[in-house]
Amino acid sequence: MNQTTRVLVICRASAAGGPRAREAVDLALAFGAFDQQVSLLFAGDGVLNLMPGQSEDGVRSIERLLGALPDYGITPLLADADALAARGIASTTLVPGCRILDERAIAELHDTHDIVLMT
Amino acid sequence: MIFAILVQGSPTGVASSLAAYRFAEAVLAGGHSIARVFFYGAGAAHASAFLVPPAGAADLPHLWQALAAEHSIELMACIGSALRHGVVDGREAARHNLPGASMREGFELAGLGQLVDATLRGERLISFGG
Repeated sequence: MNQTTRVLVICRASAAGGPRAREAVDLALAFGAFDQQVSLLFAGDGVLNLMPGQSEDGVRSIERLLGALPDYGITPLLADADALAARGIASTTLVPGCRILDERAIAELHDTHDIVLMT
Repeated sequence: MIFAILVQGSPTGVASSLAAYRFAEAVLAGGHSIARVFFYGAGAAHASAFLVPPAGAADLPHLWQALAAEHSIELMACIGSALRHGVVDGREAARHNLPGASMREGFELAGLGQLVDATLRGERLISFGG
């Protein structure tokens, strides 16, 4: 792997439920910092992290961390359409810079990346 | 083939953590090599010297320690995850004014850059847990 590696990180957890959401973003940032091509997909409860203005009482929201991702070339943020629908979240209510992907687009995403990491 | 292994599950009660160890054994038995094993998130607890597995369960921290010594494999725990799981080496213990080190011999603390490095050096990254 001498050339750029394409890394897909999938965040499936809400920041309110434990450290795994932040761990996903940290993984994405680490690969981005080493000039790898990173995509970050929010699926399952992970899509909850894309709702803006969350309280930080007791847990750290990752909203501010998400704002740093474009600096590492990680943009747009990808969201699973089915996960949003299952939770009644309208795409218009998400933080700026999100792209909604259907099942087929997510399958293509897996095909076009060298490494897939999930938290 | 060269493998890098990422372990994200706790060393106790998580099937994927045992699978990671068995996979490593199979890799080596098959004549391949392992560049590095990186313990992330709850997986960082593998690096604890003070962990006692339930009776009858595999002692994964000990098994990794022995396997790494025999095959010269680097065992690295994410420093941020390790601190959250009470795993510190002498240097971190001093830095955070803690009563002593809790890290198992054979493991070291590292940043996520070491996972990226192992991934880019290895031919295959295999992730367990998460």
